[in-house]
Amino acid sequence: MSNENRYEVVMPKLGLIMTEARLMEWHKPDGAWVVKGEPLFSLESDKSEIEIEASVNGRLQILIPAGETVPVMTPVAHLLAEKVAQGAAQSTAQNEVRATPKARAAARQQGIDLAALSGSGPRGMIVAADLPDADMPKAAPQPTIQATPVARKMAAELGLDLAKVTGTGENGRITRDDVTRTAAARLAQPQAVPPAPALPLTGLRGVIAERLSAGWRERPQVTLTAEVDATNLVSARQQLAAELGRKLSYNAFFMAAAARALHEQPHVNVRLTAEGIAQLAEIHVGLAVDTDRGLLVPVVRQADSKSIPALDEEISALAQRALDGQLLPDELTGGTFTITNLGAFGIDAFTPIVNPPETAVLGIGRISPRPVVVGRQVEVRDMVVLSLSFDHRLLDGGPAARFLQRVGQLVERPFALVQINN
Amino acid sequence: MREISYSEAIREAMSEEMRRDTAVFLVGEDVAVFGGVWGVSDGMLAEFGDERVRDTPISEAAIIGAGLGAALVGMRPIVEIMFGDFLMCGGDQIVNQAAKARFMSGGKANVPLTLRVTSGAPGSAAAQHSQSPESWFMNVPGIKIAAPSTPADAKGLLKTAVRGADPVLFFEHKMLYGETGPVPEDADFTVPFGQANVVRQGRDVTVIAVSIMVPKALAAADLLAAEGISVEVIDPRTLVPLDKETLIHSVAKTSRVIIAHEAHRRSGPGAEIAAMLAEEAVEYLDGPIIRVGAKNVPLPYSPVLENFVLPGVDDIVAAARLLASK
Repeated sequence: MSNENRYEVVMPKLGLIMTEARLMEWHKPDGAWVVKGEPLFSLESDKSEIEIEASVNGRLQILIPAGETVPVMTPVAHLLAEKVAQGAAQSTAQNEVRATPKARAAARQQGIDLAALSGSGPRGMIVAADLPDADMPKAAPQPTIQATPVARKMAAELGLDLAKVTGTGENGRITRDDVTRTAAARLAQPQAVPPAPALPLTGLRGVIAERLSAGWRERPQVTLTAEVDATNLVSARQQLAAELGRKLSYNAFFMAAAARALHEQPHVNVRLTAEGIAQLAEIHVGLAVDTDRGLLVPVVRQADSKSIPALDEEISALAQRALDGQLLPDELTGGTFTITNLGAFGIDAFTPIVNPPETAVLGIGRISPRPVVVGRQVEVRDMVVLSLSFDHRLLDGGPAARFLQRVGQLVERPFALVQINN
Repeated sequence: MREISYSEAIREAMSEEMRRDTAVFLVGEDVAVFGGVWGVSDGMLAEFGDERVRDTPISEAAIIGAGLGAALVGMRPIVEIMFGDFLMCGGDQIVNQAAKARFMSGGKANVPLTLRVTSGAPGSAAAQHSQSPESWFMNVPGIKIAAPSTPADAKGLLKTAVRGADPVLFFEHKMLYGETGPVPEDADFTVPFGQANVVRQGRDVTVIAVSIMVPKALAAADLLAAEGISVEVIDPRTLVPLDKETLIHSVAKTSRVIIAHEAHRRSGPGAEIAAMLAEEAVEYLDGPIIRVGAKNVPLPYSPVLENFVLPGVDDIVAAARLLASK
């Protein structure tokens, strides 16, 4: 482990005659992530108790346990920098984004993650022209807040919303002093402030909020559910996995079934435009992926013309890139239908929300063995509940039910999915 | 409007001011009998006589000191320095005396002294006769600094300098003396200090060009226009005071800045302008601020090497392409 990634915390020498001190208490457990400025430990010297703050961010590695007395300048702990500590890769990656001030401001306003873009400017930096204009979903524009870089950094570290800071610098720019003053005032307030700062509704979270509430306001949405027998699907997946020598995701099968049903029943593969209901020629199916940053829906193009192993490979690659925050804007747009699978969380059935501007979304619950009446006998079968939410303006209940029924049939007869549409 | 040369425009400004005000006189090496080594004061001795057009020994300390003394007792001297490279010989007169007299005297003394100084590389004049020393004095409060790029600006700014109450370093690029352009004949035509000239309007890239780099920036703008890059060319005209407002306004429009001067890049006028823009207009910038200037080596005698070291049209074109990502 190199020293540049390790910050050494020492017993400070706080007075001319101070030679040693007792480490009274660690305020953070060993291995905890410590943010610069947080209380780290307390020491007792000359009968006074003093609290020491962390000077840098890092993962705490305690060298001297509480209760011991050590000479001043003795190393008492290490703070391991982000590159060494786990779980902090994201903030390192953010620091590596090279962008112009104008591009940064525009991205902030539009809620765009610069890390997802590549730069065409000098030294590879992201310039304003690299930002997507119309294609990217935009959060409601925020007023431009003028702040010095150090004030921005401090505010980010303190979790302070710059919009709540009054700038006293040149042209009302927010300075380091303004942030310090506001932070101090916030600390001075009694318990009125909730202990955890609210996450600002910006960035990806803002985009999701904006799009879903727009979808909810505009669309009269109805959900149909059907419990179908997935016993054959479970078996088909096991057989195909054995044949290919690798694991396969159920989502590849459900996507194949949805794509086939969309191919057969194009009235679901439509979109409402200013001119009216547009029939979409191609079938692009999105898959909802839960990431640390929020919900992302990468899209598989022409899903109806791809085999199950091909769909599986593509889904797996897209999901991984979604988790890594590396999806390109093109991979997140243009879907005509979405599937969302909450089975892994033990969810049986739910009412998914239509992903605008699409017409319908298929929710998939968990596959679990349940007693089912087959003929006059009770049998244990692997059952799954499918939930279809749809925009009732574009689709009546009957056609929607026929679509869900067809998806259910394809789940029950997965052999039919061997055939691929062209 | 009639067209005259940069050199003639300067002579016209001096002559008009000397006719207007008997306190104005010209002093310098070879300015009288020889008419100036650059020919700028040709014929002035005949009109104004040797009391008002005076030759001096070859000592910048003495020449500038004479001008400073005359200014302190109420004259309005115009001092010609044949080569700006040797300003440092009279450095104390400029930096500690001329620039400070008003402040050290508690406002009792003014120094209305105009130092006309040649600058720039005239071609194979080598390291001691080719420099552009504008920024050497930008760090000294108390002196104004002008660097005109056209005959009209040369006339108008020089008259403002002569009529003003402050010491002025007035830099004349040697390669501009022969350039011609329209110049007003009005004897009271002046150009104010601290007012930049938007020489050419553009959308994509701002080129802030000093002195000789203005015509080069215009040539570059023509080439770039053919590639679809629209260049705005701004001539600050005076470096002290600097018209920040016009520069920032342009940067807010184009988001991309090139600063071009013939002085060396390191700590040239562009360093100050770039720092000012970074402080006051950083939010508009969509790329690095690029300085185009002479490379950081003493100017060579060899024409091949000199051309390599000096900034040219192609340097501005390359910088603009880089900024516009084309």
